[in-house]
Amino acid sequence: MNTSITIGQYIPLSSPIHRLDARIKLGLTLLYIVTVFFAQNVLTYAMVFCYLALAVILSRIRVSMILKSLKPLTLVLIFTILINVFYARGEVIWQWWIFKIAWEGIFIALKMSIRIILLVAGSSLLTYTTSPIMLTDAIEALLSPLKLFRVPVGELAMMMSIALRFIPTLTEETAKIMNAQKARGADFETGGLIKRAKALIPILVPLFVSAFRRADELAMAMESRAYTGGDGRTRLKPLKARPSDVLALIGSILYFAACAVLGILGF
Amino acid sequence: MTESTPLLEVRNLTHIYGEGTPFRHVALEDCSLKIGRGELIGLIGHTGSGKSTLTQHFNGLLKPTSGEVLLKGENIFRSKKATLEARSCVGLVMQYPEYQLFEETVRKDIAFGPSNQGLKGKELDERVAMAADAVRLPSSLLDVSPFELSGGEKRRAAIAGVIAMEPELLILDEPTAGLDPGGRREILDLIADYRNREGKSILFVSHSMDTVAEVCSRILVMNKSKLVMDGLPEEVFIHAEELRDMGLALPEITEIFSYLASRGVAFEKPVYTRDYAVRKLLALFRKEERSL
Repeated sequence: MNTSITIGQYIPLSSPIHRLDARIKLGLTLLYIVTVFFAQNVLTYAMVFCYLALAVILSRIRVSMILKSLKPLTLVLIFTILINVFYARGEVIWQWWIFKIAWEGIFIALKMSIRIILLVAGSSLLTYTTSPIMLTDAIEALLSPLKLFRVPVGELAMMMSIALRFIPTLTEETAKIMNAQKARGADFETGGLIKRAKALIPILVPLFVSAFRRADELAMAMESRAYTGGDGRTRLKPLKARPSDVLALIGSILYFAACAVLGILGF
Repeated sequence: MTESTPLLEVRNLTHIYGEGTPFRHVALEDCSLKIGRGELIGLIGHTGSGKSTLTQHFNGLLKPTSGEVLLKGENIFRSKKATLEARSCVGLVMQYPEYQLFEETVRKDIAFGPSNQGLKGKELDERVAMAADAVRLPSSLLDVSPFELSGGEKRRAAIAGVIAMEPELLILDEPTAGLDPGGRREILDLIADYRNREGKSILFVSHSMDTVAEVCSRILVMNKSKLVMDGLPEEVFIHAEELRDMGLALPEITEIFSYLASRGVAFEKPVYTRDYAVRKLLALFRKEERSL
C-alpha cells in the first residue's frame, strides 16, 4: 500500500517559524488577518507584505509552495476582479454597451485581489509550518477561556485530533475496499451519474461499517486507559512559550498596531 | 492458444510506488513466473515482501512499472476490456475479505461478482448456490444479513463471492489470517476440496509455512521485493538456513524431523505433511519393534 498519504499540508522543516509556539503562531495569524482588513493604502499594504515576506523567508518554505496554495484561488480572483472592475462609480474611462470601466474600479479590484492573496498566503504559511496536532493543541489553548461557560473545549480538541488521525487510515481503507470490489468486477469509471452514484454503495457500506468498528475499538481502548474526559490531562509535548516567542509576539503586535493606525489615519 | 501456453505468465515484473517522490519504494523487482492449469501453488514471504503487490498485478488492479502480465498468452493491459476480462478470469480474494461485504443478504452479496459479469436469473441463482456449497455455507444462512454471521462464516461468504465468478485462477491472500484453528482448518479443507473438484488453479498467499506446506504442491518464496525460490516443497525446504534468514520458519513437522535427523535418524527427503510424517513415524516404530 502507498503510505505516503499526509494530512493537511504540513511541511516538516526546522526553522524559527516552525519552532514558534503554536498558540502564538495561531494568535498572530488571526491578528495578521485583521490587520490585512485595516490596510487601506499602498504604504500599509507594503508593510503587511513585508511582514509576510519576512515570515516566509524565516520559515524556509519555498515561495513556489506558497504560490501553489494560491492556485485554487484563481477562479475567485477572476470573479473578484471582474465584478469590481465593472461595478464602479467614478470617472468612466472606457464604455461599451452596459459595461463601464473607471479608474476607481480598477483600483478596488487590485486592492481586493491583493487582500485575498495576502490572507490565503498568510494562513497557508500557518498550516505549512504547524503540524495538525500542534494546531489542535493551540486551538484548545486559545478556546480554553470558554471553559468558564462550560464549553467542553478538551473534548472538542480531542475530537479534532481523532478526526485528523483517522483521515489517512480511512483513505487507505477506502483504497482497499475499492480494490476488493474491483476484483469482483465492480466498475466505477463508466456510466452516467446515477450508475456511478450507485456504484459507490459497495464502497460506502463497508467503509461506514469499518469506521464504526474502529470508533468502537478506539473508545474501548481509551476507556481501558482511563480516559474520562479532557480535564486534568497532561501532555506529551506541552506547549511552552520561550522568551524569543514572547518577543516575536510583542514585536508583531506593535507592528500590526502601527499598520492599523496608519490604515485608519489613511496616510 | 497451444497446450503449452501457461494460464498466467508474468515476465520481468517491476513495480515502484511513488516514482519521482521522496516516498519512492520498490515493491517488486524483476519477478517472472508461470502458473499452469490446475496447479495449487503457495506464495510465501515475510510481511512487506511484496506478495500482495505481486498478486494485485495478476488481475490488473495494479499496473506494472515495467514488465508484462500474460493471461493465456495475451497481455492483460492491452485494452481496458482485456483488463476487465482478467478480473473475471483471475479471482482475487483480498486480505480480510469479510470487510468488503455490503449487501442486505448473503445471497445478494455472493451474486455481486457474477452479476457484474452479466449473469441473470436462473444462471445467477445456480452460481450462488454452487459457490455457497463450495464454501459449505448452509442455505439457511443465504437470506440473512452478512453482518449477522460469525467471523468464520463471514470469511467464507466473502470467499464465495469470488468463487461465484468461476475464476480460472483463484488467488487467496492470507485466507486464514485472524481465524481460530477450527476456522483455519475449515478454510484449508474447502480450498483443497474446491481444487480437487473443479480442477481450477489456486494461488495461496501466506506468511505461514505450516499452512502452505499442508496444501500446496509448489511453493514460491518472496523476499525483499524479489521472487527468490520456486519449486516443489521438498526443494524449497532444503534451504532451511536461507528461509530462516528471511524470517520464515520451516513447518513445525519439518523442524521436528530435522531434529530427529540431527540425532541420527536418516530420512531421504524433508518431511512436511502430516500424512507423510505419520507414515515415516509408523515405519520407524515398526523397525524398533522388530529389533527388540
